[in-house]
Amino acid sequence: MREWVLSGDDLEGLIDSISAEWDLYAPQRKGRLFEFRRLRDFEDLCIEYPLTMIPPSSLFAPGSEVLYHFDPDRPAEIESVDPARPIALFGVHPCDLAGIAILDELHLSPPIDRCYANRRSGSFLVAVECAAPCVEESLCADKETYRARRTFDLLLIPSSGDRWFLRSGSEAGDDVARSCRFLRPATYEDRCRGDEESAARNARFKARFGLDAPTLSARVEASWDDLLWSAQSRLCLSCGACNAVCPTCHCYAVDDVLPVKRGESGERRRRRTGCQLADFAVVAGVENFRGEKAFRLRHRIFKKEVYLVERLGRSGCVGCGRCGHFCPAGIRLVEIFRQISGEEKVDA
Amino acid sequence: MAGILKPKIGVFSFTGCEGCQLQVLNLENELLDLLERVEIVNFREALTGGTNDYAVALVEGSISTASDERELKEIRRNARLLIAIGACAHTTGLNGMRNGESAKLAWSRVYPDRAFDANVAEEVRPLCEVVDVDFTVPGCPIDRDELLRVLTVILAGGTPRPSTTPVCDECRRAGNECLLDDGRICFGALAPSGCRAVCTSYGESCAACRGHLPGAPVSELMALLEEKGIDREEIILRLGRFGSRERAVAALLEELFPGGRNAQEAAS
Amino acid sequence: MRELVRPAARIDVPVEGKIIGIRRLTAREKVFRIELPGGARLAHQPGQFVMVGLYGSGEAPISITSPPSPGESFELCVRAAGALTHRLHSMEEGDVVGIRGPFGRGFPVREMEGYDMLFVAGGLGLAPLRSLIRYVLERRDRFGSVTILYGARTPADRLFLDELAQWEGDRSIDFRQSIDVGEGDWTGRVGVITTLFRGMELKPARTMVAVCGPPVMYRFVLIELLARGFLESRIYLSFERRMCCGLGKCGRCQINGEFVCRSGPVYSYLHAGRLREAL
Repeated sequence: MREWVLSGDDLEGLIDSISAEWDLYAPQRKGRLFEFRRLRDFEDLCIEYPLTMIPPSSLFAPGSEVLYHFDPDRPAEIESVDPARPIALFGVHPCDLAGIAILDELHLSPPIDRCYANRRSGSFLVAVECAAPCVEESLCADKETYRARRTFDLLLIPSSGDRWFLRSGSEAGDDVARSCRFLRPATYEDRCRGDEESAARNARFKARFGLDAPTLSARVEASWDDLLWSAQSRLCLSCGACNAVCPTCHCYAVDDVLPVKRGESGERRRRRTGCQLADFAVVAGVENFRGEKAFRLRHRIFKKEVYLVERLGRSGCVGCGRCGHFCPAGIRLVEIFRQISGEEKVDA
Repeated sequence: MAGILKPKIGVFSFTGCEGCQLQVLNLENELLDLLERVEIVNFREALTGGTNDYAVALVEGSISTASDERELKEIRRNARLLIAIGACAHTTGLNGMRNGESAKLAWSRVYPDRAFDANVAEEVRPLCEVVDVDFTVPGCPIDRDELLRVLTVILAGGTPRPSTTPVCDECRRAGNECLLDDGRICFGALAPSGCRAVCTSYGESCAACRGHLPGAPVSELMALLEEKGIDREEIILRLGRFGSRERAVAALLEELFPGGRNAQEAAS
Repeated sequence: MRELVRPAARIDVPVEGKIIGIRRLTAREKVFRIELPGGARLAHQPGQFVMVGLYGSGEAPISITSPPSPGESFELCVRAAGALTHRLHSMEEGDVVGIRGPFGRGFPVREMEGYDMLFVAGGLGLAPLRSLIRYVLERRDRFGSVTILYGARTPADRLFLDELAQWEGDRSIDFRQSIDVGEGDWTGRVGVITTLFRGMELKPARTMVAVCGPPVMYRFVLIELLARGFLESRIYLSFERRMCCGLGKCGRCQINGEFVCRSGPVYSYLHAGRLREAL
């Protein structure tokens, strides 16, 4: 395993090395929230952030993007959108890394989603491990997504004494690390200390509902006719916040934007949408195949815990806790899963 | 419209602040590009004089007098397409707040020293309650880009599609915190998107000036706000500002003012 | 297992389809004959659909109503229902639309060979079924008896009148139709489509069934079919959902875990009956 020790003072140096090749996005404050945006000034970096509202995967699958341009007078002339300069995400939490891995599988399996592939290919991911669950709604312990195992190019692991362990997960990660003269290869003693610290941190991640993945999936599957779906969705505003903040939600609609100026080209755009919005399953403006909010909530949970499990072999929920944390109606996965596990009275 | 090379557009105004006409003028750069493709023939804010020769009518304002009604019907006869622009034309907007009490009473509040003008209608109405409206560009005021989207689709021979997703969707994706979380009254869940969540992005709550989505979750939102301890009457009054024409809101207003506001006046 | 048909046209970006013929069927439906660039074959299976695009109006899924066999162009039967389809109805011969596809899985035509065929079509559901019906009629010797049941709301709503008359006059086809609402000089049967089953002699053990119609029709037709002993594995239903990307990505058309645009729109009842959101 390629592992180095990085002093806190050299974090900026690491960012500079990455920025030489990639457009670097990192967590920064936005009012009371945090978001991933281009890092212009090192001082703006908030590496110890709780969670961003919009997940970092949205930089690969943005809320709205051009699929292709068209010329309204010559509809056959279609020009696909060029790939942008590759981006680097700095400071991705392990749960969000798992989210990116799921989007990768969904978008890069045939037929390949070209827009996603354009953004994702050549990108660089720097993950950072968390010291503790970041919000009340976090389910990363249950989902076993609080440790980064793959998908990253570099992984930052916090250590005592203003130091980080830096682990590489790819050739690109090796190359960047090699270009950083200030890195010191980790010694046996470093690793021993790292293992101790890691064990101490792991102890802070406690399961919330206590069902392993196959059992949860089976219990969700069995809950189709359960009354919990109407009860839990009682106050649902169908606002779609849970979809908008989910790192693995990827559904979309297609809209056209026509040019105002004669002779200019128009855009066929993809707009991310969500299954909790009331219009999601309306066909030809008439029949709504998921007309009740209870059906929509059930679909969202089934999609993560049953349908994606069937397709990917693992849950589509990475336990980041955003859907519950940002739901204005207080609909929380942890409550749903506790009810499903028959332990709704378990203490937090 | 596909066959028309340079269609003539008339812009008309009824009861309202004429702010939506200003939004048309605010198109600035796009306005010149647009004028290569259309001819604006009737526009009080920008042109003098008028004509009846137009294919598309953009109409703002509510219908609040007998003469408004006659003029609107004439515009409908002249225009191949009639597009309502702005909340006043779409749902009566703020003008609708005077409904529920008699025109005379409302008149006497505003003009205590002047005799009642018999031209004033008993009720303020949106365009669609007087004539057939082909499309609507909602909002108070309208969003420039949305107006352009509607016009470019019409010029391409298409039918503009009304938004079917709530303002919340646009608001959240714009990276905003939810104002409901702070215990504020916000109607983003009720109103159709298309405004780029401009109010909430600046920290103002959504007033649902764009009307309500079909099946808007009014009861859910009421229950949620009440559970947060917000006064039911306050919520209903706020809903009534732009929403008096929505059935769900009308029912709530009736709960607050049984028999209309007149009855309340009479009682007090 | 049915084989997944590889699309001939591009699937993520449309190609130019030229309208080379337009036929009005009813007040609401028209048939458009479309030709691909260079006369390329669409190479579709009966039951598949294409995404039809108009710049400024987006795209809509439209089932292919012509059989795969003849010629290099194909036909789409379109009801003027939404913004895109209304605009399509205003188009003329020589106009161009965007075409992506064909998408999904159609009817298992090879497996159906050798069987009696029962077609049950309601309203616009005749459009996708017509592709299969004509496929079968063109290979009449490979199939057993052919029965076509067609239900429409009113006589004026019936599609493909010339072909209905042809089927009616063809002694090798048992064609029966019914309308929901009697109107004008209609002397035929009045009643919902299931009334057509009355007094029919069908041989469930050697029959394949293809059903397409509005969602509400499926429940009643299935009750009728299952009561008569048709096998779940030999009843094929075509589902309408909000197909948008055709690539199994956008999630709009999902019925439980299935992407209708990829594994549908045609499913056997053996499969669809286990999808809790399907019927």
